Amino acid sequence: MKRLRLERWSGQLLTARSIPARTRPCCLRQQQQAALPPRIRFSSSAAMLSDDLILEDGEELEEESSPSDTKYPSPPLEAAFNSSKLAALHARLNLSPKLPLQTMARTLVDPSADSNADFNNAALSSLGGSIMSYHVSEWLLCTYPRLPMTVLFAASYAYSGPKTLQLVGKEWGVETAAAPGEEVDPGHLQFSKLKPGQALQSQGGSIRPDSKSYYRRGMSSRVVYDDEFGDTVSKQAEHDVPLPTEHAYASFVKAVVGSVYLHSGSAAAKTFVKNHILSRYLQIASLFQFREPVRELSRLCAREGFEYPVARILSETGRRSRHPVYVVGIFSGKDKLGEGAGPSLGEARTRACVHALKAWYLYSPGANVRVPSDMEVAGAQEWEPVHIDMGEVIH
Amino acid sequence: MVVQGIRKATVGQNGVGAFILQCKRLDFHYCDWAGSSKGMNSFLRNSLTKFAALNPQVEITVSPRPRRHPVIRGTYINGREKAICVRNLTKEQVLQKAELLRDANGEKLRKVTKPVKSINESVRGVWSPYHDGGIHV
Amino acid sequence: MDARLIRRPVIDLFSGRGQCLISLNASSQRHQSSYRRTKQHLNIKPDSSFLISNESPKQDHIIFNPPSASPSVLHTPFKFLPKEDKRRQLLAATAEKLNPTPSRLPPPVSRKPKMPHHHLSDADIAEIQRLKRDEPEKWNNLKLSRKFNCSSMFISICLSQCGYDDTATRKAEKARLDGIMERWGPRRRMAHEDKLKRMEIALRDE
Repeated sequence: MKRLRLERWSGQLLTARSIPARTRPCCLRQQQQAALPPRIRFSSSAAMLSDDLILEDGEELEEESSPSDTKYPSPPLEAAFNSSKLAALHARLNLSPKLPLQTMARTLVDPSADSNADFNNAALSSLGGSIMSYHVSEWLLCTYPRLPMTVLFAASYAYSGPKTLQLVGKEWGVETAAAPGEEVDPGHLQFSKLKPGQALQSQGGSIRPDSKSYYRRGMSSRVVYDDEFGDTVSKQAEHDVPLPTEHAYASFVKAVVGSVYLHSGSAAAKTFVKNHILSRYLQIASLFQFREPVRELSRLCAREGFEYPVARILSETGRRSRHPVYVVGIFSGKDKLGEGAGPSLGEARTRACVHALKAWYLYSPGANVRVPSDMEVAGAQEWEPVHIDMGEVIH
Repeated sequence: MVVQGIRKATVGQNGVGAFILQCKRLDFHYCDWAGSSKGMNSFLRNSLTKFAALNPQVEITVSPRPRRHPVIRGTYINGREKAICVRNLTKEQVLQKAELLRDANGEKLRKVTKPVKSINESVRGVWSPYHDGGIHV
Repeated sequence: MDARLIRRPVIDLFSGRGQCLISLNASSQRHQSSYRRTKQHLNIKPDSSFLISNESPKQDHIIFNPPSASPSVLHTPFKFLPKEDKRRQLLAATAEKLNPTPSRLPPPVSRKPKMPHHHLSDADIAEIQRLKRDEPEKWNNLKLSRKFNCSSMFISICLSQCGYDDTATRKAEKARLDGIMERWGPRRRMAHEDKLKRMEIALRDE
């Protein structure tokens, strides 16, 4: 099997010959990547670029002939060293000095600002997005092995969906540039903003083969054809159309994860995702919306070979009053599965069934259960198989 | 399609996992001429380099503000600003004020009566009169 | 009318109901004079498991004082734990002590006797469909379910394929029910809407 050369994905390392259309000094690489530029940002000197940079192919760095007539859509690479915002962001995220400021600057350029794939974050964000969704989904699957597919989609949306990633990006202190351009500070997030009232451009259908409208979009087909949140993937995504702010922030956060992976390795990327994404607070129990809990619970008991669930009154008060309260428990044989309180017997029974079903679905072997990527560490203990559930109840 | 998932967003807990310093930027304003900026100017000349090197996560800008008192202004991640006038203060006192702004979280100052706050659910649940008999008085 | 309104609190004061009013007012305001009394009132003896007696163990021990609250969904019931889970053995060891199996289970919610299942043959089902087809007005679901001793749900499943078009009946029934709901007053209507809202909230478990 041929090894994937991920460092090739980082466009800074591409040779100038591979992109003949643009002659932009993009083929720079830091010599050992150990020496970061000085972090004192109020100095206004810009003469820190020349020494520790070499050309990948040994070519001479071309001087820009006339800077006035070539306007680039995103700031040049050397601006990354002079941006105090960018260096502060790098330090605030506690990133390793192996990750250079140029890459950090590149994560902030959205494809809608600069359509050249060597200067925007499209590649980094698709790499980082898959790493992030891998770590989120393996953690969710190992911690809550019985979550139904819909709730699993909702939970991974809650952890790594665009809404959350926008919050993450804002909590990192990243601001958006008013409009993309060459003169923008590289520490700002650059993308072309969707104007208020402007409709989102349709992205030309989905990649699903069932194009007819009467085809059912079931759960199992979503696992195969759709993205990690169960949404359809658009067929030809155009990159240079204006996009909502949350999508720009999402691709920035994903690109940071991707660049951490490229420069510091998979263990660092995993720690980064754990610290910034998985440490956030979510009540997974609040993601459930049931339809027929009574029937679902009886089907569950039939499937698992438990006795038929019976609703029993545990306590009650004020039956003949205006505000009665009933506490109803669901019993399977002599074991209580769940209980709920409500102002009528029907509602209390519904709540008890919902409680019992949630208790089934939210089974967890423990918060610190091992995930498959723990085995990548050298000298890891032998893998113990995690609990794998047969799936949600279908009726 | 039996159970549906409800889409929500997670809530950040700064310090659980990663810690992000809430002070984003410190602006130092000074005046070359006025006497009230004496300590500030001395701070800028002697201590600011060290302060900036110790706090790389804060963006630092220095700008003149002629014929005005010297001011340190902090910008925070929650979008708020805090400004401290450092007129007639010595170099050490200016450093103290800069550190105070760096350590602030940008929230309005309020009296903390309950020092521990949590968004986690109570472990023992919400008390209910219908469970466990309770205590008979 | 006005005279009655004015007189009412006075009457309440003398009747037994008034006592409740007075005591409510008294407890809602706390004065310096009543502070100590309230404090004493709330000074309850702690639970017996917290008190140290001669029987309590001399070394470090665990005080077991289960919460007086509805159980959390994150506490998986013993029956729902998978076979390989370690908590199964731990819970099985302490189950007898913590919650001993009740000799008598609480009363069930629905006291209706359960209908027998799967006792009708194909001939019976054909008979049900024939009756409905021949005399649809006479044989409604309830009558059929009583005759064949099965649930009306099962009858409706059988009749969905019998060839009898019941859209007119459904429409008439819906019109009748809508007419009844039209005549409802604001209180009953609001109570009905609240009930529907509460059921939706119950399905989300909020």
